[in-house]
Amino acid sequence: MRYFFYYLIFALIVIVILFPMLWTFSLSIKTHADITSSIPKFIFQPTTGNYRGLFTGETGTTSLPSSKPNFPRYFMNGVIISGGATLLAMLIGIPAAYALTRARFKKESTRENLAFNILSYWFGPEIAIVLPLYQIYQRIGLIDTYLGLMLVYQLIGIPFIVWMCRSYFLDIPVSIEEAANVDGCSQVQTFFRVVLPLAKGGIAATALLTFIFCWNSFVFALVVGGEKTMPVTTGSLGFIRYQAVLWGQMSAAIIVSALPAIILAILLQKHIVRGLTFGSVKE
Amino acid sequence: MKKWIIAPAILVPILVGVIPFGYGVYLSFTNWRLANPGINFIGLENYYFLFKDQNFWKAVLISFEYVGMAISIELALGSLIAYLLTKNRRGQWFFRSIIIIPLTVAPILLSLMWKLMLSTSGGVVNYFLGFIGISPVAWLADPKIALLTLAFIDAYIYTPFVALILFAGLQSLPRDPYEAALVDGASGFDSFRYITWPLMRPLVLVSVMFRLVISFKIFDTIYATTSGGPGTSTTNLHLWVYLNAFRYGDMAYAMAGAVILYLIIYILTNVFVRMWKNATSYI
Repeated sequence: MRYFFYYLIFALIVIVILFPMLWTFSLSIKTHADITSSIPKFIFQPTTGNYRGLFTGETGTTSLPSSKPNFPRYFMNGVIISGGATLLAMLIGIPAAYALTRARFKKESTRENLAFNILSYWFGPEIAIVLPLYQIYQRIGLIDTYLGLMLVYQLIGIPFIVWMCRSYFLDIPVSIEEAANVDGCSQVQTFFRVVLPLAKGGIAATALLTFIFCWNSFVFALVVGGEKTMPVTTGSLGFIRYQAVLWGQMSAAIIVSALPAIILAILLQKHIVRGLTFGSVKE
Repeated sequence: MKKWIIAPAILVPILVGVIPFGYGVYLSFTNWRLANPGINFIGLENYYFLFKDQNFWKAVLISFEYVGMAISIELALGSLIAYLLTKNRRGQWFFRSIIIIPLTVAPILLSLMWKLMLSTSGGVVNYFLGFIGISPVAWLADPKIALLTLAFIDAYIYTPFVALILFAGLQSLPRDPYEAALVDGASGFDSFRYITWPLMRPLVLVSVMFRLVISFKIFDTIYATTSGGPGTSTTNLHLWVYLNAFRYGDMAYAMAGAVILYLIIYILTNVFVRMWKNATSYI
């Protein structure tokens, strides 16, 4: 009886969490007429029209304007910008994380302070950086460019990667590295042959989460991005701005944009709590 | 270990973060406008008007109200879920996979899902409430409840974050003190007060700090659902800054607001980091 009560609450929570996604999915396979009916329809003839429209650019109804958001482009932009930003942040962040784990400083506290300084970027309000950056980017021609966005996304990537990788490196016993040194490995060799293989699971999870954070970020893309570089987050708002709201296609766009994150969420379960708390909570 | 490999991880964020922000602080003392390229130094004028601007103070207040509402809901529900998770080992993997999903999908996509469901014309939430005799509610269009609705959307996205952190903490609690307390005749409340709470406090602080900062500077979900309206009833400080910059074109004035936003977050974070250090000092 007690267990019945638990399962009931769990079932309720699962329903509350999944319902918005399932409902959005149901909207994405409805026709425009079914969506806009005044009473929500639970039984309807499913259609793939919204998904086809998303990629071919047809709106499906004649009463709506033909100029519409270019979703495939937004998706590709998201992949390019988030992928590029993640790659760059890994190149910069992983060596730094390792140095912040093992390098000797004159004062022992320097290491902690540097790490905290790098972390603090994550907490700053984006708008305070992006307003002046808007002007700077306009002057040097980086506005609405992939490079410009990848650079500013380093504020998301570097702090996260430094903290996460550091937390994984700290898990590796120093004695293993010392043993490698005794066996004649240089510091660089130790890093590539001993440390990286041991931490590769954590590093991979960190990379994927960095990608997701970049994929999900909004303010940077809104202000210093533009029509050419628009990713799915700002792009999915485009379905509202036209003369009428393209509910069906917007739903389809939401589902397609959310899918990578949903899949990763399930795959990365083990690493996610640690990732979301910057390594402060380990499981 | 060469320490210079940390340098890029420090220099890149300085380049795209600190320098723009510093330049922004300078710009907040000028008359920079979106349409007008000429920039003149005008001293403290922007700040003077800012402190007399009722809309600005209202935005500050709304930020705090929003954070207060969202965090209360999230802590209450999050502790409940965390507690239930410890009581139920079967199906835990499935349940955790589900509750992680809202944390990885872009907040803007989730809030768009809610916007679809909360719509007053054919929205599914009002339709369901109709069955239990509740007349349609303008969730996002009624100035009295729009902010609360947004806090609930925030809770939908971030309650799992609090739940997972607290759950990780509850799982790592040692068994022995509880048995000792039981032998000594301590009540359930006593063991909570003297064992669970002191051990859990750092984690509660970590989750509250993350939630506090991120909800305080929340932007994307509000921008996508209400854009700060109806009226200014959901315009928090981050949105206020954005609207002043890009809707009214008053960049310097907006930047002054952004500096204040930065200062508030800076103070909040420091208070919590200090509290966290105190709470962990004896563990």
